[in-house]
Amino acid sequence: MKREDQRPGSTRESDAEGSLETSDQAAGAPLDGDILSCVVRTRPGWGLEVAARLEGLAGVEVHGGTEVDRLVVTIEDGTGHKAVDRLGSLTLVEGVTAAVLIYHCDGRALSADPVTAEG
Amino acid sequence: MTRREFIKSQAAFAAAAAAGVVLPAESLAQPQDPLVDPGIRWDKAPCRFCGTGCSVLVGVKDGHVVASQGDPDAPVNRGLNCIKGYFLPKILYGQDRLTQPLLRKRDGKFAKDGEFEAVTWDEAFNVMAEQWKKSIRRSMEENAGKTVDEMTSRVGMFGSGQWTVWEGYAASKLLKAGLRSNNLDPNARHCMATAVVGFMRAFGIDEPMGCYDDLEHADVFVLWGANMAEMHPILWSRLTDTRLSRPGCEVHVLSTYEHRCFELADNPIVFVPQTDLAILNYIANYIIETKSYNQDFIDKHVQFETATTDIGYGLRPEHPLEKKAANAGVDKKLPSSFEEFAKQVAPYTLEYTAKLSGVPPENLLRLAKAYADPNKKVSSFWTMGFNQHTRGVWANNGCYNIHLLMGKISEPGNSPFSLTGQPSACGTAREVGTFAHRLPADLVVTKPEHRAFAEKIWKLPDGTVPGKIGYHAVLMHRMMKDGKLNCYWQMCNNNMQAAANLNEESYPGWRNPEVFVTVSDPYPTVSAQAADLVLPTAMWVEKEGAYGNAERRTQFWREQVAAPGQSKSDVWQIMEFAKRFKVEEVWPPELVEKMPEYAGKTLYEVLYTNGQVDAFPYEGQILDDRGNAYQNHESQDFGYYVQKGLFEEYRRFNSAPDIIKKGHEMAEFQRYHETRGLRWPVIDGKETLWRFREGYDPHVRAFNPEVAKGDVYFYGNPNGRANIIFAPYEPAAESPDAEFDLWLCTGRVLEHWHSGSMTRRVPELYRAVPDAVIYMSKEDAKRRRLRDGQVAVISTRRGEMKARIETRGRNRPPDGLVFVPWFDANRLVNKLTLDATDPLSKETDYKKCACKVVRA
Repeated sequence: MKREDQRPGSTRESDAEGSLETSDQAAGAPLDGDILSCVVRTRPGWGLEVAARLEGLAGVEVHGGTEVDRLVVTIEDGTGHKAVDRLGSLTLVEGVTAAVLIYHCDGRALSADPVTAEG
Repeated sequence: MTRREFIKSQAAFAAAAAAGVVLPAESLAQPQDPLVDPGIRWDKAPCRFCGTGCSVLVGVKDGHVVASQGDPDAPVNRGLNCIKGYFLPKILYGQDRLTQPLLRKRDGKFAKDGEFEAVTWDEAFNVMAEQWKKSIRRSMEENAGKTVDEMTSRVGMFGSGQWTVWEGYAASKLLKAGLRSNNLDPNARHCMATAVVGFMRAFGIDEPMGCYDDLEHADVFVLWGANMAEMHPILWSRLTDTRLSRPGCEVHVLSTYEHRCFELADNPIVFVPQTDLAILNYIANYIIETKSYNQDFIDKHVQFETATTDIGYGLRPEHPLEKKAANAGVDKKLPSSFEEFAKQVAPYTLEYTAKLSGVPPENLLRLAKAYADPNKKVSSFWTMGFNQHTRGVWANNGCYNIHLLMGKISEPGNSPFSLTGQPSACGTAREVGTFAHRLPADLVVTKPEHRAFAEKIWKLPDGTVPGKIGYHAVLMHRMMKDGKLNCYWQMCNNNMQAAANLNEESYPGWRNPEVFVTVSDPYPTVSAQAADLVLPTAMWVEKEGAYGNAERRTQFWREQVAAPGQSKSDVWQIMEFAKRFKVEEVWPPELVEKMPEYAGKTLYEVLYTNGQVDAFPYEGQILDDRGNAYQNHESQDFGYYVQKGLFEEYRRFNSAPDIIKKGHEMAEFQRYHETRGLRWPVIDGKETLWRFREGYDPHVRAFNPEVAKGDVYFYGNPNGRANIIFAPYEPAAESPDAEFDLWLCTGRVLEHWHSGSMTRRVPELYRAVPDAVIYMSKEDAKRRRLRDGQVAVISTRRGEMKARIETRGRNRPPDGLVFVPWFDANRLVNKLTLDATDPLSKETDYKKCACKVVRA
């Protein structure tokens, strides 16, 4: 059931258990952090509301799709969180029915230095 | 603009394309200078993991895979990528990649009880060849005076449904022709062998008639022992879309425990293990009793047969269950009729089946009505629940029976569909024919005309290929323990962690002093640690490859990056090893005399530089249509385009004008590099979506010129009819009793693929699911005074292991059953499992044995 008094950036889980940190709690992406994109499906009619909740999560950016309940989302590594872990936790956000990975780039590729296996 | 902003923009647009969402064009960042563009080279490749066959775009920079993207042009996944796809690049870069051959040695020489030491490829293959030649000499002495149908061999190879098409083909040639051993079997024996036999018995030709497009056309989905949500997530995503968007669409999920698919189930069914056989017969009975069957379809396209019953459990002949069985291993079918079939299924009433299976009658009735409704299109999907089953062939055929009674087959949405668990179980194990009884394109070693056809293509003397079926996977371990199989080469899988009954069969076999075991692998797996020689292996995009997925789609990829250290691909290893054998060392003089031009030549020369495999030049690099250049380490070493030569020779089995069995036709080599795969049969360059139906499959009219428009013809069988085969419910090999009071079912979890040799080396996946646990009902835990998270001992008559109890996880077993995944190399559940097999398919039942669980 929808809750009317949802705080910006908060989630069902962060309210209940504090398991998802919000943008207020984490710093920006490290320069060599991974970037990924995914499609987040929401319950019918929940696109805007879910987008607002996702935007509140550190490293998460919603680029579009709210009108069709298929959100175009990018996630970046941040201090203390990995983009992939964030992806795995998106289905815990109220209104999300699925989060499907589309694109991933290793942060090493963003460096001006050559990529090495150990990098 | 920064490089990070540029990549983020690319990522967003890729996701938008997959979602069908239009983003403002101005938000697509363009690199304003070359420094912003990271210079990632992108190229396609099928995923390394399951049998779905998703295509991913692989991003390479500075010789390393640094990025991946769901391939927007791929019909299978349409730009989507499951969580394992995210980790694909990381499987290449585990910290403990093997980089050089390792041989057990003491005092500078090979010793079975020695310690692993690094050696050169030359020393590795020389020692290995010495061992193989010793065993082959014994085989040649034992085979003196025998006919080709009586020949046996002491050498064998255990291959893989993860082999590329040409790796399997090169191995089949080396073993069956060069070394004259049919002891070649793939790990698909543990996975898809049952499905193969089911297809052959019903349709006379292997692999599904439908395709993934059925996922958008069905009104009803029935999952029989398939956890698609975790094992085939992209297909599950397509199924979910249809369920949520198609009015009236419903999903029936059958399993012996609740798993993630139950969250979408309209009709959730948890049944007592093994009683799926009874449920299938109940549905057939319901269809007949209510006269819902399609009489016209039955009259024109079906015939009835009865399976031989009481066929044992594929255990050693001295096992009491085999001695007790009236017809152990007998695969004969007897002719029957519709009337006889109706009488045979009549005892499977709703009341009887509900009581036997433990399923509420209303759930069974709802399922039966869905199949029996002529206006509903039904797609049935199954994987290991049906296949890893001592009566799995019967279960496969039971499902075909239902679809055939209703005529719900070979058209969009009406589809009995066997899903696969490995990326090329179909393309390599089945189509190339790396089973102990097979040759390429559904040909078999037991038929002289099939062997002769293979020998003609391979330019070999008559009578080269042996006619006796070799040792299958389970039998190999028994023969190693008994000292009858003395050289064993495992490639591209981890059988020491997979094969059932490790304590009593696998480990004693591998460590038998009379046996020499070679393992080729990228990582030091449980198998590698139990081997005598370990060969470092190039994996996935470190070689040019081809896979064939579950919907008959053949897909190619190019070598994207170099393998670490001295690692080489399996095809390189097979061909290089062939150089160690002169024909005189492996063939008797009378065979060499038939083709004296081969005297003094090596098997490498006879098999691979035969004017066919080496027919295509290698120009020092492989170019794509965008001008990108790729390396190809095998072609570089051998001096010709190895993969193209092997594939084009293989195509002579399935696409030449004189082929024996039509229906597996493939396109030319280069075509696959230019497409996202093609579904065979490929006729005049066009793929086939639904087989056996006029209008979709060109073979139908070719086989039956009188066929009506849109009608079917099952041309795999000589009379064009499919077989409805009755088989009864028979109990499992081992059921819970007073001492071992629980069913043990094993399987996988989303995060780890198979034995975890790749996924456990990805830190994120390891963290997500570090250890195997015992999934158990709360009541069962309470009765044993076990708490969630507590360590317990789980044991069977064959062994024991410790693991933590999990009562609240994703899998929810009913009382009386526990589920344990098998990915965990530190908790070898195959010490517990029973090596009982389906006597027809020789595939192990990993889903049913008796166990007990107590506090540690």
